[in-house]
Amino acid sequence: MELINQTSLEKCLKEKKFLEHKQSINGIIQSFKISKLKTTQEIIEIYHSKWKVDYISPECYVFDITKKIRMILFIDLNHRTFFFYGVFTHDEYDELNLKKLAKNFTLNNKSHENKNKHNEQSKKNKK
Amino acid sequence: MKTKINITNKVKKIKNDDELESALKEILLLMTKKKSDDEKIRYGALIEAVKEFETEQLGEDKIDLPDLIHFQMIQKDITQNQLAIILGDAPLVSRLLKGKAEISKKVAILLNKHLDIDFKILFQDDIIKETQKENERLMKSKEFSGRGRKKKELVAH
Repeated sequence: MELINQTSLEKCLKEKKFLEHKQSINGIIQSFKISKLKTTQEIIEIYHSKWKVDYISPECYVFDITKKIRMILFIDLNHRTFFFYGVFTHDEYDELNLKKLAKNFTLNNKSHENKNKHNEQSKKNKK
Repeated sequence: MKTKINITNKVKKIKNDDELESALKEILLLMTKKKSDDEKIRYGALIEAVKEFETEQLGEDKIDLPDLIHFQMIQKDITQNQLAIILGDAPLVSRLLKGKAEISKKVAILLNKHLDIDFKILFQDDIIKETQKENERLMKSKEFSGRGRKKKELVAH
């Protein structure tokens, strides 16, 4: 797959706060470049074994690099391209309001994350 | 705040960071929606324009081998010590992860076998070098026409 927004990735890898995790962040990116993944399921299965991976929409994936930082990738499996959106601390991520962002990108599918939250809410209501 | 996409505008060569940012925003919008035929064409053209600009600015987007090795080690639960045993050379592992090691055939075979890394990637630097050399040779050969004499010289005679 081809990487789009290499410029932003290069800048991010030089940032002090992510320096310690450079290899993990860039390792995932490099693995995508050589990957032959064709479905969302494959992405989740492969990466979920070592990182928590959530998908906000069929194109938007969030990787928990550590408990404190997250990376967002937009992946277009049909066009064999992926877009590096950025790496964020949890606080920055919360401010991003990814769901709102995803809506702006006309994402109508009910997300995995939403489903999880919906299930949690249902459980609470039952109690 | 939904941005409308102007598909009537032709995609131009990107010349600066502002144009890059605007192209990236549009790519994201198009990437995450159902595209008309015109939008598909524009989407492809925008991606090509961004890639061209980024290659000019940052050079060819090669695979970062040390970080890929690190990633595969994590995925396959192989520690640095275990890889040292596999390769039979502890300092080599450290050099590999720092991108300071030359990869021999033997090491390439072992990395391919245990970390599932393709030979094309393991030898990407050699492949790039050889391709460049070959291109230079071909360019030179166009100027020559046998027995080491330049075409121009032959014409002059």
